[in-house]
Amino acid sequence: MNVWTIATLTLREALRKKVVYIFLFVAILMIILSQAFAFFADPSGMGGQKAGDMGVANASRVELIVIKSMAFGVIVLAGAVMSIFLGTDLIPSDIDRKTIYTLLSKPVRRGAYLAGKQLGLSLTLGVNIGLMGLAFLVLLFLKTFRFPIEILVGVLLIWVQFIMLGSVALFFSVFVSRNINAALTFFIFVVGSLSDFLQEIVNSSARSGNHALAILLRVVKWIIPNFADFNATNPLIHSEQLAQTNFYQYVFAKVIPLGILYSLMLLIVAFVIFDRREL
Amino acid sequence: MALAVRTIGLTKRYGFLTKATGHLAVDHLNLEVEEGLIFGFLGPNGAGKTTTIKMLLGLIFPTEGRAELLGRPVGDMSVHQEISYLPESPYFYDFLSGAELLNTYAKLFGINAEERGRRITRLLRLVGLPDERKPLREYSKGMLQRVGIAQALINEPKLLFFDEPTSGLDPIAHIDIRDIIQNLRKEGKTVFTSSHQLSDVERICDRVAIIHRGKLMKIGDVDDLLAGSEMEIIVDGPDDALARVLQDFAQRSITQENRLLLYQSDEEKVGQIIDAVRAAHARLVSVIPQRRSLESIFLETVQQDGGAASPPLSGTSTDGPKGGAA
Repeated sequence: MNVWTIATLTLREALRKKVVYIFLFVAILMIILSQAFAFFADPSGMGGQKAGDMGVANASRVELIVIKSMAFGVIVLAGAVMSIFLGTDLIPSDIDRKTIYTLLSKPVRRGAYLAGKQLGLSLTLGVNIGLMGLAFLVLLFLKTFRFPIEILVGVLLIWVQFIMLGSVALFFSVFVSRNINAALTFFIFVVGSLSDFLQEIVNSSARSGNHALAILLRVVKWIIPNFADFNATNPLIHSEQLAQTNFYQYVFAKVIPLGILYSLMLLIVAFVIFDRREL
Repeated sequence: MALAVRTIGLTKRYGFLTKATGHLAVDHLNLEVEEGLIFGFLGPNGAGKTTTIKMLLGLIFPTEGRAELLGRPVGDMSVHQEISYLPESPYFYDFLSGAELLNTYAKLFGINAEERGRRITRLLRLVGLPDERKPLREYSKGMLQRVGIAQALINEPKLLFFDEPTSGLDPIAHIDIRDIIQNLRKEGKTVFTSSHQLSDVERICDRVAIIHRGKLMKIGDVDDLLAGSEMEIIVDGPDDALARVLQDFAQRSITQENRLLLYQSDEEKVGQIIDAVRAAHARLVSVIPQRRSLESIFLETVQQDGGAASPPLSGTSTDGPKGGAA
């Protein structure tokens, strides 16, 4: 009950930040403008010359690929900015303004407070990413006259990705300052997104006999969440791949559960630290 | 009577290296506050008042010692159902209206919707904001403090902690809030309040404690403290040498033009002052028993401990030396 009350309070507070609306507006504008970028796309390297029905169909397919790629990219970018911006500010702003004192002097456990904050952040990200996804869906409908519902799976994937990034920001916010938190969270997002590259370095270090570095990087790779797993929207962009891959199984049986599990684990560690923090 | 607050050797030290280098914010504080009292917790800035309140609320943790609220140890979540807190200069979620804020906080106590509605209406009327629908960001400081009092009463607590509840308020809000606190006594609630408004404390509190540099310097019933038999001795035109001697005998002194006003509660020292005046053939204008003010007790207590007190003192005052406490 307390978790939900704090979550809705967090959601309402976040949704009245003007800067969130600016991010959202720019992102939706970019999604709408993606069709303009698609117009300039060259479907087959023919310098823009299109011959016959095949050419038109191909152009239309390429246009859709560009729109989808760009829209997913914009949602990821806006989601990353929002989760870092909102996540790093959740706890410090309550401490600065002393709102945390009135909350925690009531029968609210610190764990419930943190869980409420995490849930509120997740809902805020859900609303924003959902609205961007809706704009994306409407754009695709105007383009194809059908609702490609599978796109929503991609949006869900992005949402879970940023719930995870938000939990990283929340975790750091219980013991570091806002600016350091923003830098650390961004760093983790970048390194986590380059997980495959990190694996290559681990392999080459092991091959070259630099075992210490290989072990160190393995530990880093093990600790830092694998954001690269969430870059799985290719089958949604190239819809012909959807039937050929086990995309849904990969998303629902692996990536999303792991993302939620990682967020919960991070929340528990954050609670252990926050429970002894002096306010 | 049962104890609302009890601290046993409560200590807070900041700085983690050694006892020598750490800053002792609260030093082995032993306090007992009975239920049903309005208890004033006084001290200059940095004396450890807020630190103590925060420890009692479980917001920070003691280095040593322990505390109990309503007979249960601090940290027992069940006690939070029966206490409340109004921090100094509070900020509330300013996009909410007063009623929405109270509704949100009432939910945290698990109060059902019907009861929430009843309490909110009653409390907004009590604090003089019955029809305010605008968001809190449009409230004045006085209105915010009224909402703060209302949120502190939403759970019908037995024990309330107020940190500087009347600071920075206009006179009307000041009086209203003081009256609300006074009325809480009639409802049998215990109020633990820190304040720099000594005249308010003198008027509304049953009992006070003065802390300085984290140490409990004085504790007692307000009536007992104020009933001290302090004498005011006025001497006309003493020369510098006599003035120095007299000031040494006094607990405090004030120079007004060519007169020296001396204050002392120890009868023996009063006699020594009079003897010294007579021996110097100076003119003794009057010796009048005074009802002491909480301000003078506060200043005397803090100055005895070698500190500078923050509340202002009118007139030109000279600190008295190591006189006995009242």
